Amino acid sequence: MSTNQSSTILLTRLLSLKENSPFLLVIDSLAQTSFHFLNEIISRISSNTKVIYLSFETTNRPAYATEFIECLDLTTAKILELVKIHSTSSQPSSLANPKTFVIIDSLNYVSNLELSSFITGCISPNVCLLGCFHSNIPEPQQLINTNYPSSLSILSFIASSIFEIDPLYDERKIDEETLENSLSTKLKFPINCNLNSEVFKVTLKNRRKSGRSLTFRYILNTSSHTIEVYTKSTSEQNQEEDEEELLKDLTTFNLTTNSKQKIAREQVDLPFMQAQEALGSAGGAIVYEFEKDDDYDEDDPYEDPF
Amino acid sequence: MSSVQVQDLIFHNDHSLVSDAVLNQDSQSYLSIISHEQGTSPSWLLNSLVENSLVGSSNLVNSELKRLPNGKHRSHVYFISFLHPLEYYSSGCVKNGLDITKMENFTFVDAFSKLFTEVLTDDGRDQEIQLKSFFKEKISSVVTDPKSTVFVEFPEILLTSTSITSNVLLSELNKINKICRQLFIICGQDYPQSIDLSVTNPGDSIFKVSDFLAKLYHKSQLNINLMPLPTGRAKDITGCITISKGTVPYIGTNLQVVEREYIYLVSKDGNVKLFFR
Repeated sequence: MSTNQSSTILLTRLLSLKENSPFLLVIDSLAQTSFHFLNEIISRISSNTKVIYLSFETTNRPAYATEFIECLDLTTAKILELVKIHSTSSQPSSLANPKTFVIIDSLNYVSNLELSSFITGCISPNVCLLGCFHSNIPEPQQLINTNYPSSLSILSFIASSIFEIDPLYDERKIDEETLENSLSTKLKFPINCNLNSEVFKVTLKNRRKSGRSLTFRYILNTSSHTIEVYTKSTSEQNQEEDEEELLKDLTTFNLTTNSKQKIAREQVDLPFMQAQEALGSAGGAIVYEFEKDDDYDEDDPYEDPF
Repeated sequence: MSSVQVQDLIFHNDHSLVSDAVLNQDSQSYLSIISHEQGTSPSWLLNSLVENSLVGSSNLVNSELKRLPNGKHRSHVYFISFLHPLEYYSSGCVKNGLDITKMENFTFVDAFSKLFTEVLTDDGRDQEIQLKSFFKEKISSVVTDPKSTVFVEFPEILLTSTSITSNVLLSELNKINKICRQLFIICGQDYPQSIDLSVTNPGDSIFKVSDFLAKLYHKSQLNINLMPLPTGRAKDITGCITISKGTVPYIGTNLQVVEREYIYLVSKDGNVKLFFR
């Protein structure tokens, strides 16, 4: 199976909550909201799944929400109590999957110091938690614990899967720097740049139980429900070539490499690679090869190099 | 400039400003943000939106929108201002052919005149509690018609002049939004005088306003920004108005925001001309 196929399967399984991932973190921005991403998950999960929606900023109750809790005027202890009540409340016996899906529309409203206890309090064996975090919103500085990590650092540390959502904007109309400057500095929305669209870029960081982390990039179309693996655009590839062009004729020295030199460089056998072929075959064991000048006495037990 | 064609101002794909699709909704509430900078007062736009929400026409900015026949009304308009008194808008609306002081479906709440003398007093209560009861008694209880349009002007003054946090103000505005169909929030957005997202001191008013606005933008369907001409001053241009879609779509309708940028001229006699940029 190719990497592209397996990465698509991984995203499909995560979106349909079939992969074991207790806390999904969605990082969005003013340029691309997580609204469409949430709808995509809802369209893929079983209709029997109980959805508890913790609203800090959503005005209208989503049609898919089984429970809708307005959290802005509640303490975190009260919210956790309500989540516990609703997630353990009796469900229809016809349900084959007793899993509860808890959505937090914005984690920016939870105090930085309470964040880790709030997240761990929401998660339980039968609960899958999804929390959205807006990267554009300023974070208050900790006045007492000045070295305390930022909310995003804490959330990224706890999350089992992280989805970063970015717009697929037209690079001919606006560049990344201008977009960042208008939105994140002046809160001004550039127009007709395909922001907050139904088609967007998703960067997935998935953490296995072993600790191994995998990163994949996709283009998610939420109107046609299709997933494409994101490949580096040709414009970026051209940019690399342009950089080589720029180095040309810059000085009297030759700073570039021609194709013949590139092939020769690729064919050079690095010494440590060869060493690994001969010695690495022992599978991680320490292999000691005696040399001709070694004075080894078989009868002496303290001579054993191991 | 005379050779350039004058344009009608529209916000949505149904060529409307405040759409019927919004006002006829049964369960959804929508939010729009009107932001402006110093030197680009949105009063001409607010007068036009009030006129459009009340009677359907918008004489100054859109000639295609017609007034409802037989004196019918489109929606009840509640205008809550932390900046101007009723006279400011009533004189402005006269030019649009409206006497809002005599209209039954127009309610004005002057939230500023007695704010620091009667609302925020030394009665020993916390400012947050005082403001919450003010919102409950003087604002939320006034907005009784569910199919209404509400304007809240300059609410960020509460962040700069009191100790309340942006979350408290957002919570109160959310309560107002829930009981109406369309909420317009009008606020100043001067960078770096009033907003700067790099400020991190939670007690700084710039942090509070920036936090408030950034969170508000994550809830809106439509953003309207007025700013001076970026290239400098011109005799025949007052400013630039940008219509952009918000982060949340109009759920429950097919309505879409038409993203456009206009330059506009407000002449001395109060007439407004819009041109594509």
